[in-house]
Amino acid sequence: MHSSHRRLQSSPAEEGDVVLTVAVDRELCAGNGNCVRLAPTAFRIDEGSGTSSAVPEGLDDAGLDLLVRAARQCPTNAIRVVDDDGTVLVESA
Amino acid sequence: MEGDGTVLLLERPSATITLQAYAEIRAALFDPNLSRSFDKRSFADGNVRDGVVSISHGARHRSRRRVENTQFRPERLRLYERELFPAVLERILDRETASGRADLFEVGALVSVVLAARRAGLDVRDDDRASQLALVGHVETFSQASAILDARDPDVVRRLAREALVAFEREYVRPAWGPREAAVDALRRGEIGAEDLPHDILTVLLLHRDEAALELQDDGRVVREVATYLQGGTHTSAQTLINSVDLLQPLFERDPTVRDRVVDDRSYAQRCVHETLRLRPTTPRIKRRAEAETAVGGRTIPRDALVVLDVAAANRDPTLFGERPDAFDPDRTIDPDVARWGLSFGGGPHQCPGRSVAGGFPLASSEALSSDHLYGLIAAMLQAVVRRGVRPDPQHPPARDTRTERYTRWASYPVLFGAAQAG
Repeated sequence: MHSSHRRLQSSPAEEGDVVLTVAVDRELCAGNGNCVRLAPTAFRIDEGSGTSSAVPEGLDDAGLDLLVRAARQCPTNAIRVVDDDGTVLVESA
Repeated sequence: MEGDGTVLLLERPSATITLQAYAEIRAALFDPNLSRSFDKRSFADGNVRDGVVSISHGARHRSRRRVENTQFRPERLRLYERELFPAVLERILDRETASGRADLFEVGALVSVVLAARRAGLDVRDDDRASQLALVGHVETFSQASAILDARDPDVVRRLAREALVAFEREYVRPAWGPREAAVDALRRGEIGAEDLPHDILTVLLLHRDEAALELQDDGRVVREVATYLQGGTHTSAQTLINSVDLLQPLFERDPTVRDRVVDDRSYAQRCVHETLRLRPTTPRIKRRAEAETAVGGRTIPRDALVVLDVAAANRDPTLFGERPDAFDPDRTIDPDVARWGLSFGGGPHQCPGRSVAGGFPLASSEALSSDHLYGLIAAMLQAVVRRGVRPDPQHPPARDTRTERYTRWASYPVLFGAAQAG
């Protein structure tokens, strides 16, 4: 499991900052690329392994809503998103 | 009874469970206990799907998809949609519509098969009509074999598929195999770089076939894998083109300006295609087999149950698609988290890898289109035939494909071309 931690501005903004953990389970990832298409700053495909990973420095630009959407649309449920109080926003398989 | 040409009965399921609710079907598509290996005998014994990615499960499926998905990256799709496809489309349409009449099934299949062949790794010239037609014939047979669970006469389909696979390998795959294998060898010797390799499924299979997890040592499996991508890339596009024209025709008759809108606005053309896919999925009922007991939507599904996912019903859920879900309304407003095509490309691990080729990127109602947006090849085909004034031939009614229970498929759809206003 490859994890990236990043302080993100949550949406809506008045809720304050949250620290998200975005993790891609490379055993489950089939390299479909939905996450890269939806949130190109936050995910990238490693062409060597054919799997996706989170890009820590790109999570801010993607934003919480898009990260959650990308995780929910992963065809293999390989993406896990957890906020700073441990709440699992999207669970992987 | 396998292999002797006699009727192979389906393995008897422990139960048959039909799901019709959108959320339940989506959950079932993601459930790792529900596999596509629902009838091993029907998909073995020479069937084009024997051992291919689309009926694989678990780790082998993921390994193959990782390798094959490299051919569906956005930059590759952009190359097809913006550079390769427009020229091929116009050249073939000029040829096929010159007489003013044609069968739209043949037109759509010819256009689609040339591009699907390139993605699959077959060298078919776009000016060689005879070779293209022969390939369309093989695709037709492979489509019947892929839908064998819905075939009215599975034995006939099985025999035809065996014969077609032999000819397909000899006439198309082997001539393409040699040069690609040589290129892979050259890469391994360091004589060329990875970017110099052909960008297609056959090449990546040859490049990676030594990886044990892919289980591709058998040449026949490579041939069938290529055939699967060729068939998948051709059949849905051709059928959806026909269904789009069929659904749009009443709109054209009520308001001739709709033709102009299709021609002038590609995002509208794309919504027409997505609306067509929603109402007329090429696989109206997806099937799965329970490898182990599981539960979907609170309902227990016993091991070995046949699970029928009624996509056609789920795609007409009024809570998701509006008060008139049966109507063809490309302008309908829907939840941005729901694809406009519903579940017609499946979902979960087996979601159609070619969905972005055929349908482009998903299009939400309020989403501003980025410069990277792709509209899909069917939208381009639809615009091109509407621009040429496509309309049903009143002297020759269309015919449904009666060889299958999949009622959204056509065997022929005679059309006339000419002035757009002539319809």
